[in-house]
Amino acid sequence: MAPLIIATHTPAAGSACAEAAAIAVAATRSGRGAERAALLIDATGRRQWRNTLLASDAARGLARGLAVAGEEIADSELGAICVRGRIAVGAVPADPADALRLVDATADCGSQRVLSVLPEHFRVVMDEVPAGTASVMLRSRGGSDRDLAAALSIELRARNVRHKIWLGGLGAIGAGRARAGLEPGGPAGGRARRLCAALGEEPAPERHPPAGTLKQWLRFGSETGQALPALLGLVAVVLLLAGALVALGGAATAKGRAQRAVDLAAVSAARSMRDDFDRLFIPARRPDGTRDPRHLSRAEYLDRGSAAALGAGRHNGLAAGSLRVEFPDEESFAPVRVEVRARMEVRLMGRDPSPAARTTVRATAGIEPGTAGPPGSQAPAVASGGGYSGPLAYRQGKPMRPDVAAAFDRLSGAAGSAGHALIVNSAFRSDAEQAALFAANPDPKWVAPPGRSLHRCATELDLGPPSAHGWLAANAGRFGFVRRYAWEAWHFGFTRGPAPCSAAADRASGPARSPGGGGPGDGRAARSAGLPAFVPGFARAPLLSAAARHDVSAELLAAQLLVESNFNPAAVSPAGARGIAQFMPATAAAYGLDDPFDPAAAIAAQARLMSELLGRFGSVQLALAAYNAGPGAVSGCSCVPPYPETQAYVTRILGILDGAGALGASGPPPLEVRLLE
Amino acid sequence: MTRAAAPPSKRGAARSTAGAAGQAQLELVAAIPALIAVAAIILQLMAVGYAQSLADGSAEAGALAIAAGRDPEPAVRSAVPGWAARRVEPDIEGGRVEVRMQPPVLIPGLGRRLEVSSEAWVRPPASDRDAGGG
Repeated sequence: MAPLIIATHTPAAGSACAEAAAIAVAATRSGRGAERAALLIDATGRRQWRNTLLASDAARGLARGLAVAGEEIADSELGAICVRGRIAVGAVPADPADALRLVDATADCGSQRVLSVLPEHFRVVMDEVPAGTASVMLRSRGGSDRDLAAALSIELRARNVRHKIWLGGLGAIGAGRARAGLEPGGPAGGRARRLCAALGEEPAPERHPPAGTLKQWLRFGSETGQALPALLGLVAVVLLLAGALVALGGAATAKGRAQRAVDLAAVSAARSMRDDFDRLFIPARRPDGTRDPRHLSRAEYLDRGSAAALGAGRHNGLAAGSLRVEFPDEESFAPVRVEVRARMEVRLMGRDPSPAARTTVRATAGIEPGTAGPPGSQAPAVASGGGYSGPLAYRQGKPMRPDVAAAFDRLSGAAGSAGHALIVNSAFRSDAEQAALFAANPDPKWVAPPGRSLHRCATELDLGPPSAHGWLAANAGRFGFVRRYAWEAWHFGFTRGPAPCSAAADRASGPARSPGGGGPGDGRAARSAGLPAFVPGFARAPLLSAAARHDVSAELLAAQLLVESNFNPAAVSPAGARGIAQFMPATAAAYGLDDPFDPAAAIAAQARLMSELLGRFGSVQLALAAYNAGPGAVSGCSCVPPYPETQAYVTRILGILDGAGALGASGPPPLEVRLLE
Repeated sequence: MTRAAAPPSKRGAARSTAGAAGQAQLELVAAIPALIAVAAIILQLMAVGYAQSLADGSAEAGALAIAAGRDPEPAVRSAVPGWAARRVEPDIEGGRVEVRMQPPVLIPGLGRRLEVSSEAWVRPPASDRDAGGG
């Protein structure tokens, strides 16, 4: 006969049905091996029972067996057996006779049975159940129930009936879970297991892994943990985190892309400024009074830079209206910096941005002097690898024999007066460079084979632009140049002095000056006969005199004066610098300049100072930087110090020199486009 | 008192060994591949996003090199980590730099389908002056 536990309660304790269900669930604990089911017989008549969605195979098997094989049950109109979680539940009206009939009908079901009865029916049921076949669970609240519970306990003990008293109850959640056929969990669940062990078949003890171990974490794999909800929750958490990461990443990417677009817009503007920079310093009018189309006004220069920024912004996905282009130093005569701002909205998951999600990205770019190294660091001072092995002079960055360079200076000056800004496209080429050219275009008519080109002699110049070729053909001879080949309108060779590629040429050429200079002065005083047009008359003679005396380029000194004071002999800066050359009092005293407002004396002192700085630093850029920021700041880093004022100072002077065609041996100004912020 | 329920058959008993606890374990076992799949998809998406970020930076580096008058291709390749340099395919024309990049993939052969690209444009320097060959 299947064991039977009769559950009832004291009047004050309410129903014992949930506790009976908890004991039935505890009876199903089987540990290893086949799972067991238990049957709860509810004879209180207080509750409608229905199948739950999930039920164990054992509970389903028990209910199916009772329904098929139990004719008494079918005939008794007691209703169907339902399955709930791990237990089967048979409900009968609140009648002890019906309860006893179901108890009899399920005597051989093989599973633990728990009968829940009302207190008023308890004695009747106990009297009908065969002695020794049932045990009793009494639910009591304690307090006033104590006497009643004690009396019943004494009586049951006298009748030798196993019994236990459950003080308190399961609580709402535990009761709900127990009625659903699930472990109530918590302390009440443990109490149910203990009572079940004392009253019925011994349930297998629950084996908990030690706290903090991996097995404990894996407990959600057991039924007590309910794996599916935990796993679904875990997946949901993972997906939520992934979604949040994607949203944040998308927002960060959007801002990063906007920043990149603004960077490129600023650099594009700076590139435009770099390309146009020298045009700022080309005189607006030619000597014949006509307008020089190469000249750019400051407004045009800035407009072109702004257009470049907007174009780059559009190409890189920024709305035109969102960009703002400013030039922090637009008040200067040669702006070298540009700042681009863009307002953007960060959208999260496509939502409209809040005010806090609107942000501004900005970038600053500019043109600055390139890194200036020691003398000779930028290009070779002596030719090699060709037919000429003497010193090299540089014009527009192109190497040539020094006497050729001097002749070119004169040629260039005359061409400038005629409205042609000559360009040196190529000059000395080593045999290796010629071989590379020939490999790219192996047509001897256009490219001479290596070893046969006159460019290896450093006497040949490829000149532009094409619009100047006619003038050159007519006038180059006056300066010692001839057009070598009828089919090359650009190629002019120098015919004076030593013959090309001769030993005499190597001997005859004086010591070379590397780009940037190689000794006191920059060796270009001789070129100063043609001072730029912006030099006022009162300064011309002092400039030429000082340049010749200290061997410093008159154009360089003139460009300095333009930037320092705009040739104003009475200028006084907010910092206290005085005169046309802006000497500070201490510096003026050190160079014996008693009256810095005397332009001739100030220019002489300026030339002396520049000569010393050129000799000390060996580079025009560094000498200019030292003139502006002080020798200490330059010698500390052997560079143009990163002061915006000094950077702009050097940049503007180099731009003026380039616009005036006066850079000569230094080649093109080593100005670089840089993203600054 | 009659026998109300027959004991479960051996086959039924064998099936019932899973029981409720077995059901929970099955849920766990079934969910592990799903979790692994979700994690793999997330990892792959992160790899694609990272590759996109690298391609963006690489294209910008190339564009900045163009603006500075330098060769953009070395700049494009040096802007990504070493392992990614061989996955980068730059396409440079004028001031436009397009960088295509294959992200690391968990499934071989998927790289081409997940290829990302980024484009940057900058104003190029004024045209270089041509030199004659004579």
